Amino acid sequence: MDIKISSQQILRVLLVLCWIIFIGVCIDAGGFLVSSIYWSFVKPNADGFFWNKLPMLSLYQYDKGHFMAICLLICIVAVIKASIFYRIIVLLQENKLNMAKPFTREVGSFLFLTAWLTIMVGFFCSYAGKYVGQLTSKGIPMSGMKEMGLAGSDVWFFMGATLLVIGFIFKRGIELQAENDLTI
Amino acid sequence: MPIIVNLDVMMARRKMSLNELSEKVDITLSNLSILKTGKAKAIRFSTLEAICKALDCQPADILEYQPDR
Repeated sequence: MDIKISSQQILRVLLVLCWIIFIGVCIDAGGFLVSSIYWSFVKPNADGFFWNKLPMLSLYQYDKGHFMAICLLICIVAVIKASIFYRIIVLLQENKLNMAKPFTREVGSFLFLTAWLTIMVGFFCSYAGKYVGQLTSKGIPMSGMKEMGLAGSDVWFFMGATLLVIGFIFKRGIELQAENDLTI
Repeated sequence: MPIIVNLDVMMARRKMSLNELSEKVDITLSNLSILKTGKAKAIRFSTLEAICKALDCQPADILEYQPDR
């Protein structure tokens, strides 16, 4: 039996996946934000564990400024990741993808903004990697980049660059579609 | 755009309404309106042929070139 999967079905599955990832990323971002604010302005937890059980107490005790900087980087990356998935959900949920006329300005601007957000995540992850490396070289025990949600800066850069290229091709597609629509 | 569409002039000369022309050339009113108002980016030969046939005119009667000043 031949099973045909339409692009609409794939998009529906993608929407469900994006919702699941978005909820996970939001919980992560919220956890990091609440932990950061609590540790920065109230006091560290008695057991010395941050959100996701990150061992941040030694960094906190070493220097509060470095601790806040790392927290800021973790929170920025987590919030940008959540906003990327939110934008994908909005695009798929509101049926802005019209397969009959796909080259719309809305999708074009979505691609460009998502590309820049992705590059920003890559930049912050890369910077955080160097920062954590410097702190580790000073003898401060730090958790891995993956646990802090800062891993894979090269992958984010690659994804951002790819999205930018697709965005520029899409921009030309919008012009061609507009020209085609105005051909009588 | 330096290409001017004089469709309204020819329609007035032939005393033909937009609705009537739309029926004769089998083009939607909105598309004819785009053509008439000069918003169109291109015109197909088949459309031009149908309009010339309906208005009994030449392409040059409908299209005119005026260089940008």
